[in-house]
Amino acid sequence: MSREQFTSRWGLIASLLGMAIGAGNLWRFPRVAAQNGGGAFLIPWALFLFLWSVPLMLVEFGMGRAARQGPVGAFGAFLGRFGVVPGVFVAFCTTAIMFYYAVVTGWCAYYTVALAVDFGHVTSNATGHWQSVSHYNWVTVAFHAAAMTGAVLVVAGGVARGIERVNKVLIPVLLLLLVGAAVAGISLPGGTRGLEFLFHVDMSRLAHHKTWLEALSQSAWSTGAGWGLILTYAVYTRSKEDVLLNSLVAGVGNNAASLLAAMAILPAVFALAGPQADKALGSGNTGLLFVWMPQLFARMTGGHLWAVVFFGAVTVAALSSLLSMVEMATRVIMDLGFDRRRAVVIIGGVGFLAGLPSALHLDVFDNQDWVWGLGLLLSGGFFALATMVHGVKRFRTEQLRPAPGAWRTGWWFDVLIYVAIPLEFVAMISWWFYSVAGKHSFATTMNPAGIFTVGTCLLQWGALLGIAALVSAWIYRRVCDPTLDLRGDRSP
Amino acid sequence: MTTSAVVMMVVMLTLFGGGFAALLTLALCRERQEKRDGNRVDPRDDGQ
Repeated sequence: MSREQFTSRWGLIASLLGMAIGAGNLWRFPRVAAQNGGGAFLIPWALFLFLWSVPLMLVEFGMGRAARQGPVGAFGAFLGRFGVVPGVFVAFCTTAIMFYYAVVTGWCAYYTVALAVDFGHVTSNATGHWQSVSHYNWVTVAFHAAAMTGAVLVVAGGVARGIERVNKVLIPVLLLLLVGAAVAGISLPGGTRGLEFLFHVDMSRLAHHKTWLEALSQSAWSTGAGWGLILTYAVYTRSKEDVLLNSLVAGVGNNAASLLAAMAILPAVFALAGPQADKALGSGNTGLLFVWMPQLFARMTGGHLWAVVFFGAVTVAALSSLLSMVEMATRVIMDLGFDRRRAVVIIGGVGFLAGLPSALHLDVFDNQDWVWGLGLLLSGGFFALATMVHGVKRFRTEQLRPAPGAWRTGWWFDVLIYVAIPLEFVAMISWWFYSVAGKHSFATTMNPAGIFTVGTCLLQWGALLGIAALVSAWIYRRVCDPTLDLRGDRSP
Repeated sequence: MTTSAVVMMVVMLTLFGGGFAALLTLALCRERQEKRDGNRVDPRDDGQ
């Protein structure tokens, strides 16, 4: 049976960039960078690209290329039957993010259209408008459905004719829109104050653990490393692909897009919000993007046009990331024996229905973002664990063996997987849980029905891992190819 | 803007903006070289 494949390296790189550059680059990075010391934040943020994201990208490339299956099949191939459990966790965690990410994509598309058609109405009462959009609004549901449908149509076209072809258009358009938005932001009177805030280096901030942990979290969430998405795209790559070079292009390109986004947003915030800039930056991801940005565009000459350009860029970024999530979920269903068309229709239908609660109420969205956002850190930990169980040096020499002329992954990979990733994982999980436990009583912290609690994470993760353990034998028989046992000597 | 902010901006834009452009160019040039060498189709890649 012939296998689907990216037709060119540019197609693969554009798809990797589309996967990595998402809403988080535009609505989270500028805000978090500004709130955590600007230039001082950028130093650890740059470091953690190489200490967390790149090694996990290499692991994903190696696993996907060797197993030629999605996360469930790949973990099964590398770890055996019990490996299916972390594989299911990784796959479902990203799928759960896909459910509400389609809602985010719908919001961005809605704002692009609404600002183009009725700029004055949206910007005159931005807070009320956002309240209306985010709570029981059937227009939001329609845009959520449209986002899911668009992604399904692209993924149904396959890797080369769907995902690759669309990303080859979306990524250059996105980069052009970001450059345009950055130029517009910096050109504003007082816009350079935003640049000063972003790049000012206050070395004392490097002594704060929060600066390092926020930088690490941003790097972990932003590049898509440890999500199972790179693993899925790796299924469709050539055996001799230069994985180290591709990982670096995707990671460095993602950070470049983040910088561009910050250079667009922060000058606009500082030039137009004046003394309220801190309030705008403290209003959270959705608050900054959907409440503050429309108001700021209303105070700007040519704001109508730039608002459409900016929200168009956010929509393109969100859509290109949504495509990769839909493809990963579709790949998992295909590994169960379904053809692509049927699998993507199932994922589209389930994705629409499961995303509805987040589309109808912001509390559900916030809870899911908290639970599965932190779940991604666990996913990253599972990838590192799988490599350790397999043997890190063996993984590097067998699965990351470079083709002639390609860059070689050296001993540093072993050190990062054995030492850096586990330490970073423990630090991030502990810190995020402590950020809740430190503010509330034990009972509140462990409340499984809370929105941002440790209890809700443990309940939902536990339920997923329990169900995965129960069905692991069936999934292993159904998905994993017994002739492709990558465990080698460890196989029974 | 202060000097330290300008220096940091130049460093970051060089590292990520310039780095991205250089790595992307290298990746695409290598692919073109592979095609020129007639080495595009890998016998290991013709399906499974």
